[in-house]
Amino acid sequence: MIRRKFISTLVLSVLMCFAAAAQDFSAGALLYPGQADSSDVAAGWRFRSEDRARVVQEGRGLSEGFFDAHTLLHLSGHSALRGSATYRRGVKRGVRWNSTSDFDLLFPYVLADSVGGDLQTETYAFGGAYARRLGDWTAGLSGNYRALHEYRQVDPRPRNITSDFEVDASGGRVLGAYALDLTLGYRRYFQSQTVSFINQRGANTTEFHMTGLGSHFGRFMGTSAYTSTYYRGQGFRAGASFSALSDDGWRGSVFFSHTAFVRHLVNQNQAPITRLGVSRLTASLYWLSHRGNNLLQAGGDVACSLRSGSENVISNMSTGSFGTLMSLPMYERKSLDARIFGDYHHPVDTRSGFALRPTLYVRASRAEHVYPARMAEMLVLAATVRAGYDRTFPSSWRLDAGLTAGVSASPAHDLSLPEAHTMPRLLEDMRLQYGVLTDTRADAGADVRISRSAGGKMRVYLRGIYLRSFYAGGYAARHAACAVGLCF
Amino acid sequence: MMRSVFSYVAAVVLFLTLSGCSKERQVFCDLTLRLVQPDGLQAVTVRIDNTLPGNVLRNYNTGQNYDFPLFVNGAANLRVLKGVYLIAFDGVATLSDGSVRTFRFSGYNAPDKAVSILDDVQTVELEVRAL
Repeated sequence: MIRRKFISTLVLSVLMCFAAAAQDFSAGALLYPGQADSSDVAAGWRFRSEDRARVVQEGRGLSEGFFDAHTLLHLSGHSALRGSATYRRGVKRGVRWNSTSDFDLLFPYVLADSVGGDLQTETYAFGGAYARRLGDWTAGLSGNYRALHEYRQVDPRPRNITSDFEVDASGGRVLGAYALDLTLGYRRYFQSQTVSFINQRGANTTEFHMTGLGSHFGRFMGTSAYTSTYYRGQGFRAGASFSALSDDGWRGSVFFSHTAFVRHLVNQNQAPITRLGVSRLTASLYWLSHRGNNLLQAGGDVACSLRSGSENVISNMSTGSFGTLMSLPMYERKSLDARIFGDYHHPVDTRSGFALRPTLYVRASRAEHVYPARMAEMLVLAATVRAGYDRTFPSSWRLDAGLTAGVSASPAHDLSLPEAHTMPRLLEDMRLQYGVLTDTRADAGADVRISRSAGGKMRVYLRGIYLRSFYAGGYAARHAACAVGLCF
Repeated sequence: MMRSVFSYVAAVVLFLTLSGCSKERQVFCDLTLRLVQPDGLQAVTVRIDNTLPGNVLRNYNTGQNYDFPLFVNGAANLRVLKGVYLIAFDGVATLSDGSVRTFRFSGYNAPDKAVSILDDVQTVELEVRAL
């Protein structure tokens, strides 16, 4: 029974990681096999430290505390409910060339300066989903809301407040031995941003509205008039997912999403100065098999994204307003992320077992800015393997531990930046960052989870993970997390 | 079924590959700067010193500066990013009789006077004064 529960939990956690990676969740999937009832409440701390920043705009480090709670309940044989809540608070260390929140969502159109500094960050997130089976049909609804507050209390002082809301509706039907779900979703995004300079001795930097790969709007740089902006975005999502009705069999999904973000200047008649469209196509397919107490899972997923940016030509102010004369398609980034993985769990006896999870990654991207011509492209190949061991002790303690090793290398990459048209300090930072992203790297890590029964189905656990990356250039990066939690 | 799926995937890949091809045409203007010269003066060439701060051919939005090419028979051609431009200069004009004068243009020298250059092919007339 314990083993069955463990395997169900393992399957669920892998499925959730997989779904999160591919962003292919549909509410109807709550009713798929393998989705066992579970609830988890955890509080912990997360840490990241990099000798050289992988993404300078995200900083060289992070230290944050977090509280996570999620639950999945089958209310009856015909309906299921999922809920989640998250709170995170911490500080990003050494952020440069970015004053905007959600950099990974909004780049390259961010406000930036050369000084940067530490950035306080605070996130609240809530989510819920409900699915119901009506004969051979299923229907589901899900919604997620995220609020983010980031700020700094020394010059330059960004203060960013973000709201991000998504809602999905899905409908499905049992077709033979499989369940198929179709999902439609809508997303609305808003971020308001103000960067202030208060120090009486003046600022030793200015704010730039970046436009991609080191270029920026010359007209809108400064320390006051152009530092109040907001981003408004909306998008849709559509896709299909399927699952075998038995514990064994194929699972998969295909999703497409498109979101557009427009950046406005608050003090210039809300003039829209850039527009960013992000299209994403994801697909996943994997196979799950239980043979006795063995679990075997293998599959792959792929995500293609196209990020297209336009810079608006703003009129000359002769009429007293900041009109948009035309929009120029100046930036484009195409990327492909693919992986194949396997997951095997083998019980040695009734109390212990081994697990092996190898994964291969291919990541390719090419970004271009039309004029001044800039280009960055890279191909990165990576492989990781995790070997795990689990043991249940008679005293109701349980141990899950693993060792992870990985390598990453870039067999092809190119960076082309015009020195004459790029700020020297930014040029240096971009070249350093590009060097980190394409450098050969080895990863080594360990994870452990110790849990104890607290009566009935409830367990108390302590978990920790540490991962260290060694780069061929002689520098390193460290990631760590620990949490104490309750699951039932 | 498989064939139509393959066709669809191929079309998406092709779209992603080719979507950047026409960008150059959309964002650049083949610009002709034509001098409207003072009565009685015909410059064979006008040479502008691009190192002088007051000589400006600048995209006002991006802040990008361009070098003035040599004006021959009152015209110069260059390719610029579409946008709103500040244009001002003092140029050394060599007239048809071999004499040399300074030609000045200051018609688009301030943000509220900047000229819009938004077409694929466009001619901008610059009414110069002889100093």
